[in-house]
Amino acid sequence: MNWPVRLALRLAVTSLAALPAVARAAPRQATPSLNVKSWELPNGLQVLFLEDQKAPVAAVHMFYHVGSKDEKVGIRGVAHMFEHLMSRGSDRVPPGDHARLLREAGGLSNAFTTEDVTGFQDVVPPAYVGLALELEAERMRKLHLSPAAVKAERQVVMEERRARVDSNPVTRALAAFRAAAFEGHPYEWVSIGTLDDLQHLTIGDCQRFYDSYYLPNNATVVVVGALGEDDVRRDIARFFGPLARGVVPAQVPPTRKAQLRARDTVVTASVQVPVVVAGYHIPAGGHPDIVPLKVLASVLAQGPSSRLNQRLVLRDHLALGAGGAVGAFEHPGMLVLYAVHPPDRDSRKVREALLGEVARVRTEGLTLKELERAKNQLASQFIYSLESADGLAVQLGSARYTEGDWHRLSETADRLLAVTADDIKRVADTYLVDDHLTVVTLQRPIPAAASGGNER
Amino acid sequence: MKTGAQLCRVLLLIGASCAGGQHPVDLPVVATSPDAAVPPPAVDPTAPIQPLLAVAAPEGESAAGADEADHWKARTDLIKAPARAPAAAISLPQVMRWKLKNGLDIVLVPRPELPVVSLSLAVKVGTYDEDAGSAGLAEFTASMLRQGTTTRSADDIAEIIDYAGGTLAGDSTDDHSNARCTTLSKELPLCLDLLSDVVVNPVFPEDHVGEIRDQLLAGLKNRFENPDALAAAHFANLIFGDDHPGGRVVAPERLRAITRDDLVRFWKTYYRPNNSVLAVVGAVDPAKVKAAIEERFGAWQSAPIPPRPAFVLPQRKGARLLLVDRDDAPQATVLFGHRGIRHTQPEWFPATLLNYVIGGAGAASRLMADVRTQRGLAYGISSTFGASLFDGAFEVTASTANDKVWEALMAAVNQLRAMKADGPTVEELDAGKVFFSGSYAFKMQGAEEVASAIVAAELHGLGVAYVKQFPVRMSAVGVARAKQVAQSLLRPEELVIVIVGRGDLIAPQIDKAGLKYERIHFRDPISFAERAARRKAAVDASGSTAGRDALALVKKGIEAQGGEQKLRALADLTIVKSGSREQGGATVDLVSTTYFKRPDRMRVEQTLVVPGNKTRMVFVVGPKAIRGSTGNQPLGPLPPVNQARLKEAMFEDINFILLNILDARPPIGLQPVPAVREKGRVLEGVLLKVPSGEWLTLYFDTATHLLARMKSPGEGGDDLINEIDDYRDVGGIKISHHQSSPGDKASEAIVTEVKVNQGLAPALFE
Repeated sequence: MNWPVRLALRLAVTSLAALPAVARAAPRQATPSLNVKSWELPNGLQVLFLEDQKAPVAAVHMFYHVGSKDEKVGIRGVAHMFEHLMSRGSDRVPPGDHARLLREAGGLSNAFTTEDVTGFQDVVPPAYVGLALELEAERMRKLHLSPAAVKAERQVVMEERRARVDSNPVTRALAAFRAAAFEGHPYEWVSIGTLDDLQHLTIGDCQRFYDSYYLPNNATVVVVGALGEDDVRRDIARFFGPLARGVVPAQVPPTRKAQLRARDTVVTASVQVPVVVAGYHIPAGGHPDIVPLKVLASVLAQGPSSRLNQRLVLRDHLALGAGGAVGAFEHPGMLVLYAVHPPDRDSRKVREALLGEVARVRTEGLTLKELERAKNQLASQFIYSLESADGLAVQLGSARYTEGDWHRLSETADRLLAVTADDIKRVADTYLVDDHLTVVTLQRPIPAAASGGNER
Repeated sequence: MKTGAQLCRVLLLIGASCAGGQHPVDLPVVATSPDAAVPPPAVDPTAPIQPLLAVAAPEGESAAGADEADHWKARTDLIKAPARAPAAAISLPQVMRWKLKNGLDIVLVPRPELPVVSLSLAVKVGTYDEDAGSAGLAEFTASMLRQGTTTRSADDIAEIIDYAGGTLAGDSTDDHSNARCTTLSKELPLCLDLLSDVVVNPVFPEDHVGEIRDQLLAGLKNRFENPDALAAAHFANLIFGDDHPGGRVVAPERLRAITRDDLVRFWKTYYRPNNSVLAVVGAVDPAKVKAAIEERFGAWQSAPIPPRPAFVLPQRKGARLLLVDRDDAPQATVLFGHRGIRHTQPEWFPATLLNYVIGGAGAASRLMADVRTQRGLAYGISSTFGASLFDGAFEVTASTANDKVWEALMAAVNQLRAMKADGPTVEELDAGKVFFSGSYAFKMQGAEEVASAIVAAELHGLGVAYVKQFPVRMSAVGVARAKQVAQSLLRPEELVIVIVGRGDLIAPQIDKAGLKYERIHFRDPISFAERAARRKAAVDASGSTAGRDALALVKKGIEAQGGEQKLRALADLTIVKSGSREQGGATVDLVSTTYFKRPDRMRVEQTLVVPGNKTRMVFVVGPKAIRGSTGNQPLGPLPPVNQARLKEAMFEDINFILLNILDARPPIGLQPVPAVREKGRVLEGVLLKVPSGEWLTLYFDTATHLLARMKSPGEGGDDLINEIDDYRDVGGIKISHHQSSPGDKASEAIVTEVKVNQGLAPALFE
């Protein structure tokens, strides 16, 4: 466990003792090594283990290399359905008992689904790591799928889609944006799926999906905590060893349609407020340019001092809120910016101001202060995220699948701190250009259906 | 799970999804708040009321049919939890403690693993150090710390900490105020500089006093809109009373009266090293940090600290029930319980386990299993025993359908009775012990979490040993002890019960049960004593001098309008208005024509215009029916809530309200309120409770005696003020031609046309 100390030493070089008036660029340092042990079972299961004695806690996270990108039209949303179905009972675990057994051991469980990966997260006291591993191994191959469970979860997920996406103007606009920017590409739909496909999902669809992807040779188990390596090796071999390898459908890297100029789409929907979303195609999560792009997105779109907030919300009173983020995926993704504005502001002006701020970054670059602040914030947030076993496991898993290699995790802070103004200029000139741009304007129908109130 | 939630936010932002529903979408609030959005305006009388919460399938409930459940029935090979390991103490690195010469206590926990450091400075002053004269000061003072020091402006402070990628915050609780700073450990000097500066050298800049005051006032105001917060405020007032810091209500007037000098004096009195504890947790060099702390805090002057004011917990016998009526509540919120225990009492560990079994274990708790899963009576129900330095409360909260409140409440109370009689089972107790001894460590992973746990234990006099030994002490509780504590601490016979919901649906349920209760409007004062005083004044009004004075003001107002005789002779009145109102940063234009046919008919035709949208609405209020329509549809029935709103609007119309007060049966009690002097005029006020249940204050300009202002609901902070002016003579009657409301939902209307006694056709009102 000496890696964090070395990390501290490395970071110490960039210490800022006084006011941030004088900003300095961080010199590159030797990369600290995370003492992660990795091995593979004969059935293809990948294991990442990090001993972390900070607290009596153990995180067991299962990552399946399957997400909404592995769906096709007709079954959009099936990957996310498994987030729910995986708790609906397996051969030796009645419905709901996965969570109940863990809770009775003093643990908690959770799950998430992205375009590329589905994650199941258990946190337990170290003495119960065997229980968590046994439960995960059980549901990897022995899920008890029933028509009734599929039907019930379909309803729950459709409700979730309505609540999370359809009733929120921003998520709704982002979904419309995806459809425009990734037409004909599996990133075209968001992972929660579409109502149309969800309501027609059958148990056959689910069973086929499960048998294709929930396989040891398509998964990584990440274990972090106050544990000994020998015990972890023994438990993993015992519970996962007997599972048979399967055939994972070949995954052909998707390609997006070539684009010569900016795409502009107007979508009409009954939302309370209109939204403008602008996004640029960027490379895959493992590409070195993703790091400067994250710094750029932070300055442009994150927090009260971000340029979009300063300009669109505070200065010009054009928008109610503005933000954005880098969508770093396994395959080339997007840098997305958005602004939510009152209906009486002209969408074209909002769009103009938003793209104006992008243009300003390209012509003027960032101030040294903005650059250093963003780097410090991103590096700090990253380090804070390593404080818990749970956070370490999440970071290891996403480095493995989004960046393609878990070794990159230990370089994250380094690479953030090494970003220069030239890097920002270069990535802005390369990616924030018209033939990478898609703009979607989500508008209210005109005239709207009648609604109003009395005058009291 | 901080990281999980963070990850989830990022995922949601890029369009992925997360489990559970436990992660709120962290996108701009303005985007989804119907309040900030434009339109529909606040009330759409034709819209059905939607329940806020859909009932999701309870955790652990089988979605499979009965046949499916057979798969696991009578199986002996199901996966079981392994034998429970004995609880172990939390291992913290060696804890160092020392005291500076000025009395500042320091606790240092070196954690070299990660380059993060968290400082937490707690000053032993909170709401329990306030009395009626200093109420609100503890929170106000703590909120001001970041707003400027002798050498740094608020902007400087924000810029420095943001630049370093750290966090700096100040807040206060019932027993302490807290300033915290977390950064990478390389920034420890910066963190120490800022933390010591905001605590030792704050200057409370005047303009920021106003800014923070507005935030605190907004908090008071929001309480009336949030049923959970409203129920909690009423519950605390009923349990602890007005004279106790636990139940005292900080009024908006009180917050407005607090000056910069008050804050400075409060800070000077209590923010002293001999009244404070500093915890440092993280990757630091103990020797260096010791010197650095001495350098920053050594010159901080000690001073004698006044003792905490004495207060007594009112002793109550029997149950007490308050129904808080909100006629548009889509669901009811129930909060009930009784007085609790102190964190330092030996019963705290067994009580916490007991609470886990009753309502602290999510779906596995008795309350959830019975009231929600078995009976389907509640959307959610949980309980807490708290961990306060002072006498806390045992509380159960539930959200239910309006028509199921009583059934849910009775089921929950029966669970308390059963627990009091029999205690928990061994299995239940064991499950709780394992949960606490295992999961307690989850909260001890981040430096900031460790720092706040240590500070809390220090302040409560429990010491670091408490943090280390928590799992062991929890697992030492035996079933006999738990049973004994259940019997002594649970008091299902002395419950204080607060229900916030639809009075029309809930009152009959309570009446049927034959219980006595107090029913109030949701905007009524939270202080029980203040409500009692108002009621008494209103009852006295007819006979008392005060009541006669108030009535005289109303009568003078009618005289100024043109006199009772002229007003009564008015057979009909037509008023055309043109106006606008602000909503969510946009402007809604509004044109309306209102027809009155005295005494009991009204027709409103109005058109709302926002860019790209125009809506026409018509409402007709008659003695028998109240109907409405939108667009070009024929008039149709309205939901009861909206009918009530229209009736209120008719009663409270500025032209007729004074006459309506005079005519009201039963008579409306009136009481004078203190006069307001402003802008060279004096306004005399009358407080009354209109038939809708709301409190309303009417102000008359003493120069003209005309009605000049209406303020609702009478509870400040959320005042809706309507300024009434530009009175013009129309056929011998003074009619206001201009009305306006200030605030974030500002509105203004000009009267463009008035017609009297033109013999309006009866058909207009049918």
